[in-house]
Amino acid sequence: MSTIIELRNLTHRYGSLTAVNDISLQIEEGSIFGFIGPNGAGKTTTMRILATLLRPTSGDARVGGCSALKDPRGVRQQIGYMPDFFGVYNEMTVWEYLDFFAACYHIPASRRRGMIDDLLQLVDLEHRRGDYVDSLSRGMKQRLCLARTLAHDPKVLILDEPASGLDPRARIEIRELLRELQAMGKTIFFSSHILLEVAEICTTIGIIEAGKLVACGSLDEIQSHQHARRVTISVTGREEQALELVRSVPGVLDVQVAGRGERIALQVDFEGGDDRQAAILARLVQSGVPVVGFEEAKIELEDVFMQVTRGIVT
Amino acid sequence: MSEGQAGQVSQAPEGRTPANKQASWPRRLLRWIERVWSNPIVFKELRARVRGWRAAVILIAQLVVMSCFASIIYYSVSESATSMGSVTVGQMMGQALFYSTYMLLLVVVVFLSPAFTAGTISGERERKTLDLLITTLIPTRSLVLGKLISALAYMVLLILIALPIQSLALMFGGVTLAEMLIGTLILLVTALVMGSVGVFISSLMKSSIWSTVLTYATILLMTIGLPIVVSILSGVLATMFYDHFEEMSWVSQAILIYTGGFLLCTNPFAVAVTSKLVEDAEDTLFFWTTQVYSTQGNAHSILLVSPWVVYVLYGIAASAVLIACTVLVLRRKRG
Repeated sequence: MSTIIELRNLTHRYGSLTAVNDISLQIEEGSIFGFIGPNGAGKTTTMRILATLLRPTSGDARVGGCSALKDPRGVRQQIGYMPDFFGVYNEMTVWEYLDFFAACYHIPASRRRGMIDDLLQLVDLEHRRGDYVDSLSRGMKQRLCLARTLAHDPKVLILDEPASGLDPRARIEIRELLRELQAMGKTIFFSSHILLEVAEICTTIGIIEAGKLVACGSLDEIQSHQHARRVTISVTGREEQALELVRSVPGVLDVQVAGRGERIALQVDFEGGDDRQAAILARLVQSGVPVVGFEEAKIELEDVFMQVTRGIVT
Repeated sequence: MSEGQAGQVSQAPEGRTPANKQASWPRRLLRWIERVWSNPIVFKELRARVRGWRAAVILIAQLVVMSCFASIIYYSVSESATSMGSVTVGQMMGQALFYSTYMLLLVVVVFLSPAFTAGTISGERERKTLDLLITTLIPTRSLVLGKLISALAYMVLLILIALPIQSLALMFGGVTLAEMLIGTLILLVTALVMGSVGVFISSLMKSSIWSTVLTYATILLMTIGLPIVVSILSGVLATMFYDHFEEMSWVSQAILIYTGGFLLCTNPFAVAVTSKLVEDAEDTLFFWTTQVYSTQGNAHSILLVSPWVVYVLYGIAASAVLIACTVLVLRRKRG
């Protein structure tokens, strides 16, 4: 796998406001990169720079070895860009819309017809081929725009909030479409503020806040980099003793009684590796606490997100 | 290319290769037309323009207004006209019909051409479609030219549908075919200039409303404001220099004549009228000479050109500059 998208010390300022602050990252070919962060964190600015629509204040963005600064044409050839807010030409039909953009990418007329059929089939809009674009629903327009980004068969798709404002069904359709595109070998760089969406399909994640990249890597990598791990221990009694015992283990950050009833659940956050996790269990068992469950809790992306971001918005 | 193929003209894929230097003129023209035709912007804009109800309504309104106007002129002239000297009633009728409908058409062209271009790029910006266009591979020049050509194509249609009404004048006489052709050329150049002003201003503005307002302000200034300023200025200058005109060197006199003449030649209405006056007075459609006298009383003849010739050259140059500026503005934004 080789790197296809590369940001090098990318910085962009609007006057005194630093929208993107020294971001460096590399994205492998064929991956789905999810760019998450609160609104105003700099996602759109970064993507506009990648799409050659904005010149960064400093640093560089490269796609497939072409610099967005020095060779914007080379970048445009390789990317399909879908902005967060986009317009469509209302006085055009669906196939004319795709035909127009294909022509803008210098696709010869003889090849366009077949290509448009394929694209419409891919985004499931064949039945609306001859309809006017403004008669389409929002989800359909989004899919049409996605088809448009594919007109010149680019290697990389840059999609800014592709599922924003869609109903759940349309959202799932877009997600399936992204999976399909990945299977076709495309690299997808997309932004979202819906964590579940990102966690489900991304191979790599970048979390941005206040213009800074605060975490980057696969979901597992990001999770393992977090200091805190969590286990849920279920006991049938002697919870007071258990609480005290667990607290005395070095490295334990926080213990909370999560559920009461016949079984009492303790949620333990601690720092350290597997040996420490084993030590917690050993101490409880040695002291005769009736442990009936000992489960490693998966830290969700939401928790990671809350841990790495601090709610700063520029 | 192998030896065997060397004689063949290489095929241009979708009109994207630079014009072959050896290509003959007709072939080049053909290639140019092919390129315009394959310009996706031209295709898209024309399709959108003709599809709406507006295009048909404007054409019909234009025909109705011009026909009514021509009828009114016809009846009023036929009621009142008597032949004067060598000019027959028929010739008077022909001239009245032609000049009145022509001026009406000129007003339409001056004030309608910018309407088709003033919102063309700002509109893409407003509808958030410009970013999508910019990220495609379409050359900025094709984008700008496509916008202009598609607007002009519609104006040409407007001018063409008025020709049958105008050619009524040819039946009555009093108007020559050359006059009509020159008149049509002035209309086309006017559409080109006014359209280019609209395209240029729309490339600068974020909102189409402001772009339209500014375009019309510019055009009013060009067609009405400038003549007022020039006539006031020339009036002032004339009173200042009237007694001294004789004392000026012949070169200064010539410069004064050329400057005044050029200013006059930037206004389509003035050009249309004075070209006719020149034709009547000097009996020429192109060039004539006039005499200026030096302080010693020696005559120097200077060459003068009919206003329409200057206007056509000025119009083409001005619109080329405006198009180049539009391309630069968009290129800068495109990075």
